Amino acid sequence: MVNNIEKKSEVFDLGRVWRYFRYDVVSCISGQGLSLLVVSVMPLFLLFVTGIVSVIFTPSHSWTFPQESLRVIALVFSVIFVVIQFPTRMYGALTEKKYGSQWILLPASRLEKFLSMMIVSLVLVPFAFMLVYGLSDYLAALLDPAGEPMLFGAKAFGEDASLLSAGAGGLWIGWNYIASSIIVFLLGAVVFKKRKVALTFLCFIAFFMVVSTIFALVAKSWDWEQIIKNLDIKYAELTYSQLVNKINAIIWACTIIWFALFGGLTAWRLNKLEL
Amino acid sequence: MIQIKNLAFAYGSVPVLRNITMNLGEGKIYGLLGENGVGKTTLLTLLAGLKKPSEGEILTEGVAPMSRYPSFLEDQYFLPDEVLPVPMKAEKFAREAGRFWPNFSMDKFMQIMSELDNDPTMMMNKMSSGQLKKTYISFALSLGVKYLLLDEPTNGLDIPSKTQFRSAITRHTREDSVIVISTHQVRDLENIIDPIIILDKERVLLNASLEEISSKLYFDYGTTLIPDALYKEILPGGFIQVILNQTGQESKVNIEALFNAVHTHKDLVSAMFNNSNK
Repeated sequence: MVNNIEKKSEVFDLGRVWRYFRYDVVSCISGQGLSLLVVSVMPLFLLFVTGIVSVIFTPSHSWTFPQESLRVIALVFSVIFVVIQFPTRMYGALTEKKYGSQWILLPASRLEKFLSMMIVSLVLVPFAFMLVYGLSDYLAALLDPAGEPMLFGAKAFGEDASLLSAGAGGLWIGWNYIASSIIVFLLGAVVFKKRKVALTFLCFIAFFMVVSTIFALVAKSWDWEQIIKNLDIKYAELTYSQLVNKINAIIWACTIIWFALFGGLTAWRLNKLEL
Repeated sequence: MIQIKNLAFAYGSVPVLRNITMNLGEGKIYGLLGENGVGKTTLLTLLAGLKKPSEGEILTEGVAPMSRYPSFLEDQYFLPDEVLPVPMKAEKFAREAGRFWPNFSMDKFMQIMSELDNDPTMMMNKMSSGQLKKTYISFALSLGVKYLLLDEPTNGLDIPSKTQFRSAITRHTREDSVIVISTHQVRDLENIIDPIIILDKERVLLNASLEEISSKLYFDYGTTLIPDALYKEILPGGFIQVILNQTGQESKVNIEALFNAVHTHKDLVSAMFNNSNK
């Protein structure tokens, strides 16, 4: 029988964690590296496609740079691709016999495999994507005399502050959005055997319909005028930065609850996996 | 040693294994035979820890496989029938995955790949099914694990590779190994598997060494038909017939004939070898 001391090393061993994490990263790069890279250099791709199309098809045959609206659309689609496709393509095969068996029987504990999955999906991939996308967007803007970077620069989405120039907050906003979406599709990828993306969407919509219905029923009886008055009184004396800090604290608390919920469900599912 | 006690498993409401009890000892290569759908692969996946038994228990050196403890996983390898074509070169896959098994030897992997005439620099997702199988066989045999579970390992192998596989498995596994090979291709493995386990629907028909089998059953390769034969088959130049060994004579066990004889006289053979008490 495995005693308590031995049992600890069965659950978590630093050497094994590093070994498994390295293996997971190598697998990620081998399997998904190229598609992630292609999506991340979308600004450059867009720049050249727009230019070539304008040279061929416009009457003046001159090089045209992509408009800001097009760049925003490209960013949105790239993020959607990363958020939806990466978890499904990287870990969706766990529910299939061939890949799942190999994954389950690799000598590392369930905790170690789960931690690696979380770090790769929620830290490495989002930050790598934002970095490469931001750099390629910056490079594309350098080539465009009238263009300005959307991400690494002074202007983003029509505001005065970009993701980075707003300080660390901008970067964390981007990470929060990407990672909190990835974890939902990651859960869907390891729960559903088929139609993973569609079923995840449907469950997500159903979940929010239920939550909002319950909230509506409960909140119907609340005195909203009094609640708002109370909030006004409570926060009237706060400075702008104090108010921003309070809102940030609420956002971070919600983020932690979100990740704990979906991460916990993912861990539970991985624990129960049988093939 | 692997101890299996009163093991039962069902897919939903469909029972596959019921009241299976046996011990799998060290230093043996078990041949796991049975008709399609009797639960050979299911049994292997239960032994590997991929599934949880519905009833009963499996203990591998006192540890339940479903615990999936790393220390347990480090001493076993399960080679499925269908293997995964990862997008990596074979040698890179072996180097990366082999790190998890303490006794893995890259030199041995390369040696076995060479013996099986397989290119380690080839991308695994570009290999044929036979080449991919050979890569995984090489990997499995280079891990130095005690418990090796192989599901139809010769499926997809060409004739020379089957010969090389037989040689490799005897030369590159530990003396104290417990190897369980599930197969339909008994002729591929006839000279290496001993003992033989024959599964039937929900039970073990036979679990015995070749020595024990040949002490109770006689395999006649003559040209005269024997009326009381449990099984007979025409071969070029004569017959292969299986009869009860009442004279204690030794004979070479023909596994295919054995299998057919067992299936034709299930209750007789089962009672003869008294499998339920093993």
